Amino acid sequence: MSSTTGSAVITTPTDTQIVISRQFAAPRELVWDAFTKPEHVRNWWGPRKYENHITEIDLRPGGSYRFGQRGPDGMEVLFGGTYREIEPPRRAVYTERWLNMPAELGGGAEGSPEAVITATFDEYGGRTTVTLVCEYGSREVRDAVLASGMESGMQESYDRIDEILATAQ
Amino acid sequence: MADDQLSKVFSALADPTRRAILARLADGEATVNELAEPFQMSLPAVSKHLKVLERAGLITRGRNAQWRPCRLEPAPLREVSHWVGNYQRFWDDSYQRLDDYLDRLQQGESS
Repeated sequence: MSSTTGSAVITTPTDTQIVISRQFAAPRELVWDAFTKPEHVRNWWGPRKYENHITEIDLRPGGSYRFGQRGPDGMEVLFGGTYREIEPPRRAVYTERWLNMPAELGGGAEGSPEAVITATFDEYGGRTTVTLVCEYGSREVRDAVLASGMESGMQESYDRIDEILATAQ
Repeated sequence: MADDQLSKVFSALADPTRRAILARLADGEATVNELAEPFQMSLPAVSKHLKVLERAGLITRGRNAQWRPCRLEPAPLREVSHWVGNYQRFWDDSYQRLDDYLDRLQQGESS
């Protein structure tokens, strides 16, 4: 695939943040649309095996969004939040929660703790870099997200946990 | 699992030495001495890791005062296992799909 620009780069500049950065082989206006218009978002957001059955976006400060996905096993995952700042096509600030985070994983009445995400879109030479700065508000929540395997270096270790589980059964 | 307990499990798993200790314990019980050996760590350092794992409910320790062998408790691991790896995979998968999709959009525009 000629347009592949590699895996997302994930860093942790502070104790409460995760930053995800990725370059796309497309101009900024198009990438902005792909991130902010429901008819586009439902074509790429989430893992391949999941179906995007809810993609609601009210793109204005104070407006909200809701993304719902259904897995092959019927499991439903709901994400949502509120837009705080919208500056097309270069910047958006919004909140995010995993709305139906199960109680046994620590989810409360409103799901997971809220993250505040600042998304920036920078174009250079026809390519666009999207950077998501995710602020989790506390080190504990940030680490829990990291522990879910977000950091690529940890992937191998977590594959080992799967092995541990297989052995221990 | 309560929120607080889940945080303990996640922070226990965030350390590579502790994950290696769990991997070793998946093969069977071990004493602190046996666990310390492959890591070239002092016994107090290993004991510290074991306390973290014990508080997270990931291991239990025998009652025998002298040996106190450690045993893996897989239940909390099972609870977090479907979280495991999901986030990185989520972004890589989504962004690869977006690459393809942006390609299609641009081809559509130029044709």
